[in-house]
Amino acid sequence: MAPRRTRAKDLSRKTAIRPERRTVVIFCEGSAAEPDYLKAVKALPQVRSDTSINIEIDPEQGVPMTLVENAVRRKRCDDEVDEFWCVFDVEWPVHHPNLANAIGQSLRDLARYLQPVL
Amino acid sequence: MLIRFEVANFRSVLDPVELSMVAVDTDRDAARAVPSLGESLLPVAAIYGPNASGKSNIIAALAWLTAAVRVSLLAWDDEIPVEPFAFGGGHGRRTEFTVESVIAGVRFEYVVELDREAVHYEGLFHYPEKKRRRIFEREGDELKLQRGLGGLSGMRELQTPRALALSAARRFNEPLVRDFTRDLLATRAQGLRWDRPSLWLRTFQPSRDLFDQAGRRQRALPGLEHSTNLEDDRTQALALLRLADLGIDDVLVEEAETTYTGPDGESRSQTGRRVRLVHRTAGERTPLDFAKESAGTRTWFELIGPVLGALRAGSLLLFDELDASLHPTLSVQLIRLFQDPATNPAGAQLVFTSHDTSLLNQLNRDEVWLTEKGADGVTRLGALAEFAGERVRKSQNIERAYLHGRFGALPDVDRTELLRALGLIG
Repeated sequence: MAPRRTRAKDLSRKTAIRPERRTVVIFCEGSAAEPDYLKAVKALPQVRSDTSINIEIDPEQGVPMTLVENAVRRKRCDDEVDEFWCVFDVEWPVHHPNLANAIGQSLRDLARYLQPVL
Repeated sequence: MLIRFEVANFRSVLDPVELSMVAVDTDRDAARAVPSLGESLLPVAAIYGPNASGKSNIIAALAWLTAAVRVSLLAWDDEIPVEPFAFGGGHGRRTEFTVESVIAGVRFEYVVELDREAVHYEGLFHYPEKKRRRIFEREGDELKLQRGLGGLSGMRELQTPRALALSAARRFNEPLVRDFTRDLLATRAQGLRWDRPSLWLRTFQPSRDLFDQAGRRQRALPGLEHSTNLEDDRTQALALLRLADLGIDDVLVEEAETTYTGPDGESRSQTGRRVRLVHRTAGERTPLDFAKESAGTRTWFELIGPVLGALRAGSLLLFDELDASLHPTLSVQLIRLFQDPATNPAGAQLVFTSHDTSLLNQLNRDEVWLTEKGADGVTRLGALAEFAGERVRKSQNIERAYLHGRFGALPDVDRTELLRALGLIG
């Protein structure tokens, strides 16, 4: 218990002492552990304290590109979101034989796709 | 007027939380300058937060304290009906309340620390000048009185471990105590539910009485005790009722016999004042039984009495779930009645909880409070004004930012489990 006050409390209120939270929307597939992993990240105290994460699960079991398309569509109409992330597991259910190439290809696709928006 | 309220270890509140009615932006009509404080006070405070985050418990705590001052001497025979924080940490700790208010320009402060067994500490202070002066202070069984307030010495006779010294002090006609308690006890609460009858605030039905000139007799309504012109009361109440555009033209209150089925299955009858609202429909006026009215109409009707009473007396109205059955435009009207000095000349205050984010556009940044519940189940109360940034500073576009999570205090909706349970994801 805090020691008891014996004098008047200063009544003036504090302003502008906390930053607004960063807003992040994450699009992910729900077929594997992604949602659980992201939920754990979201619950971390250092994340929770200054970031508001909204996880959008695509029940359509969409291919990675669908997630990207959804994210781009949202970005066009919502400027209140600071960052969009797309999370997908490329090692499941079978390990991808050309993982590096696939990522490269995805990145090129992504860059091309995002160009008109950025 | 309430200046601030602080509570610790009450229901979902564990660490101290503070609700302050002190204005941040003073250059506006709604903020009432109080020169002796060097601050301005606000007529409105709104508490937002997810379900089960503890919004209601903030105002329930203030309502509890009010009820406690009223009934502790009479009703707390066996234990103090306080509900400390239910999970680890609450038991063995005291529940603490602090309320500060300004009455006729003088600041008062009342502090209480108690648990189920006893009142451990209590103090009532005032600030006739800038300095804090004790009216009385009680530490366990020991009571200290300010010199010159000998009229209160009878308090010692009434003091028991479980009674509030302030409840005892009310019995003696000391003007300082009387001014403070009269102001505190004028507080009314709407929408709160209590499971213990001993805690009920006086929630009589003053709306009905405003329309019931014949039945008014000498019943005292808070804020309306000195009202001599019953016709004025009725006119104002009717105007407030019509404002809502519910299609209601008039109110009939008359003696009527109602029959109901008792717990034993027998039919019984009771005579009482029956309320019927007169509906206007294309050329016709039809009275309808109050019980048959919609939830929204009943809510609006029932808040007329407390609202008019508060506005006249300049007292505090606590309203849990303001938006529960009201259309947003009606909530806005209600808020404006308190904000506007023309309709609220006496400095009445409205503290409410709500989920209706559209109301954020009607509120200034210093009028908005946010509750969040941590993983430990503890309610935290923060002020919107604490956030930095252009839009908070200007109180603009708050609703959209809030709904995007900029200030927290949003439900953390997680669809994973539901989608899994529905078999839609693996």
